Amino acid sequence: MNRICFPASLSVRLLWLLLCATVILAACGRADPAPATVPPPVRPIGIATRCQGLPRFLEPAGLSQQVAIDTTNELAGHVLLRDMQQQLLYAHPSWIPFGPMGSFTRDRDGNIYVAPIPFVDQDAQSIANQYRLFRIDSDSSEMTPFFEVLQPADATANPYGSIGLAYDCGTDSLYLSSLAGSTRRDELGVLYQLDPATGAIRSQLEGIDAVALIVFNGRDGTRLYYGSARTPNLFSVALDEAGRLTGEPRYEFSLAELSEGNVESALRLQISEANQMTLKAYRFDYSPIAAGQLTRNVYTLDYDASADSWTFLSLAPEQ
Amino acid sequence: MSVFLRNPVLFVLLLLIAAACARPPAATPTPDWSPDLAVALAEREAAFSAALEADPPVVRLWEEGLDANQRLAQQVALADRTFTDGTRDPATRRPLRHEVMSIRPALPADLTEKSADCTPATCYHVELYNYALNTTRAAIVNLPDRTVVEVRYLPGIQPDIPEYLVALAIRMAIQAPEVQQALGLEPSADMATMAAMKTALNNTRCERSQHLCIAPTFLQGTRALWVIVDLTEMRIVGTRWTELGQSSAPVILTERTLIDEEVYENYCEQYQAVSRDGWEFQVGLTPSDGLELRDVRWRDKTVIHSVKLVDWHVNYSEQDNFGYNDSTGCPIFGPAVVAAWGVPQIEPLPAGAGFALRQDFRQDLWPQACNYRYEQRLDFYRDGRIGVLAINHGRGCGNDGVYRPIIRLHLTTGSPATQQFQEWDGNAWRTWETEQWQLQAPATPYTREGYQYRLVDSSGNGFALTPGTGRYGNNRGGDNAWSYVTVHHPDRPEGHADLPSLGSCCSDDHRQGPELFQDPPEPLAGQELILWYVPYMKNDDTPGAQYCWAEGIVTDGLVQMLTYPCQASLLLTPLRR
Repeated sequence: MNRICFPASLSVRLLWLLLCATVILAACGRADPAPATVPPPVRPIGIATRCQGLPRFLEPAGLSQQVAIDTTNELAGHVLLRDMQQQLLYAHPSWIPFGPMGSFTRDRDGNIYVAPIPFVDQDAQSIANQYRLFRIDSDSSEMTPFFEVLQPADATANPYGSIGLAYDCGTDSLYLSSLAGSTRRDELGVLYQLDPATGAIRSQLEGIDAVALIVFNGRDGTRLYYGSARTPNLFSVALDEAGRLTGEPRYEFSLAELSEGNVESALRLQISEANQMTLKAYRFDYSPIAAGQLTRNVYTLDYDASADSWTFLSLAPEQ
Repeated sequence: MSVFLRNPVLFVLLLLIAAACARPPAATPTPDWSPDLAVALAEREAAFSAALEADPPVVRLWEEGLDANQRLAQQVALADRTFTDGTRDPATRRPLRHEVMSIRPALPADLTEKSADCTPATCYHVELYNYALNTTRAAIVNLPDRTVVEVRYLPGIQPDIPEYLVALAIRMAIQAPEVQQALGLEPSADMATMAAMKTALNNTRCERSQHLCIAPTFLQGTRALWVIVDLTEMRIVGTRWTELGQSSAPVILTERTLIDEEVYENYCEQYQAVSRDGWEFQVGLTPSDGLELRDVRWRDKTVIHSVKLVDWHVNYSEQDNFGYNDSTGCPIFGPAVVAAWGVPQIEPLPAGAGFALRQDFRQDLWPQACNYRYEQRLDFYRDGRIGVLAINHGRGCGNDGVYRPIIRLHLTTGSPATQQFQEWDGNAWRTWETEQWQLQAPATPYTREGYQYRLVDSSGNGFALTPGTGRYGNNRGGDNAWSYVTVHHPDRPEGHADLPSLGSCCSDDHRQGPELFQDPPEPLAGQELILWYVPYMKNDDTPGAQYCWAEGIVTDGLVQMLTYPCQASLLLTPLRR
């Protein structure tokens, strides 16, 4: 504060003092308190997928309600439905041309979303498919491209595009991770929040190479958990009341540092009604996976609400 | 640049620096351990040799360092046949290397229903590691009863590593030349100060070798030098600096990371220059077209612009036409399914005839079923000949596999305007006027020298081509190869750039992929030409006649891979007037 109080007479000095004090107080005065931030309403602790519906095409297709989505690509080079009750395999003709699929999820209306995975025998069409997200319509069972990420000019350094999927009932949001364009030196992956009705992007977070995704309502709010493609670490990012990706990623734990753990990435995340996480992991190196290669390890963890963290329970090879 | 032209000394110095910085294919150094460390390592090896003669074939923890309970727990555990079952190969009964790694009171986390009555006072946990199979098993020993109440099998899990092994690993790390160089230490003077340097011990994995590994880590300021030590072979795998950083997320380095990064940085992101025995070329790894050599020159004359292996077609059951197109290439960040396993290697040919350049490609689980190992090899002879070989080390998904590697060669005589591609018809050389293909059949004629084709210009310069004919112990019955010649179009997706996949895996006829570039057939006269060579190899698992096959055998307590490689070859012999 510069000196401005220098006049001679007492009254003037007093006036100046008063003025100085006012100026000083104004200059040094505290800012108005910030408006209180209202944290998003915290949902009950638990999974975020209770509302997921079954496809409405099951009955017309002659399938029971005990179906499982099969993207192992062992029997056929495309997604299948396994009817566990009738011991049937089902694939609509529209599913076949799009080739091998990996991650999948469902919305509340029973639409199925599937992300591709690069496999052996890549051709130009299968390369292009890696940058798409596909939707199997709940009524017609037809598979069509639903969303597309930007295909890099040079895809030879990384054959992956769309990869991880998750759904949040609370905000009716679809989450997609993309590795498109990432190179060894530059992590250029993107996490997207999509509108499952239109495919519009509601929010996104750039610079993150994530593979497996899942939404969970924890003690302090809803978070999107994801497995890093480049490290054996699990991270999470907060979702606001509209499901938007907010804040900085939070480190959760490392698979390599768990008892008996390995240096591998989380390829698939599931959480049960009992808040138990099943994490399927594999050594991910941005190269395609061939038949006979995908033997995953399965980690089981429990949610500790008191610490808002995950406690390791066990590890076993996938059967 | 003009500075260097004006100053030849500086120019020469620049060339010397560039040559020194170049990373030609590697040779593996052997460290000179100090006498006391050499003795310690020899004693360890002797302990294994002695254990392999014992029953069970297990190296025990030294009893002098154990208390009474630990000694008893070890004794009871190793007397239990259930616990020691698996210390011998089930097929041959040969002993496998095992070592007791830890003996401690059982913790609650160790116990299950079977051992529910145990307490830390009454029960001990004994851990046994199988070096041959990289597996761990643990026994819960009830000391008062002197019984093993439970045995747990922990495949792929690394055990707790005993202190003496940790100490050995640290001594090896300290004495390794690459570590001393990285830390900037004098070999003798500074070793005494190493104890004062902060050292951590990090978990790591040796995923490629499936060996037991540990990583002593030396901290210097804001960096840490990881040294991965292989405790199965007692050798240094590699080193790498990491930044300690502020993030709470840990950094883990492994054998695979080190190997893959060395390969990627030196051969995927750049090509390396090789100059030897009159030969010069650039060598690198492609995303999915294997190892590529560019600008191959012999005595300063370019003879090959590019040679690479685009795909391996693998066909099971020739009736059902089921199979894969396997691509080989960079180990990370690329579409290759069978990745480069280490950097290219150079080795001399017998009798000083020249040298061979070899690149190994493997899947991690080879030789388990449906895992593959391929090898690209080029033999460079001092007399100007080049052997281009495609080698398959098995194992694949079955014993009815047919393998067809797609080799692409951009050959040149140096005079494309006058060069011609010709086949020997039994009496004379016949020129191919347009793009075409041909099958090497039993009745195919060869010249007296064994030539089937030649690329020759108007001066008589060029190459004669000899396919594998099964005469010299390679590829039983011959290569039975499809050969195609196409015009070189660098602007089209015809192999000048990386080709993700070419053709069908499982055609029995000429439709192997290169024919796609011959529709319609173009005239060859005056053009740069591409030769595609697609030989045939059929695997065989018949005992005593294995071919394109692999299996593991137990030797000295460890599993060694025995391969029965099959190879196809094309020999290029220089022609000159």
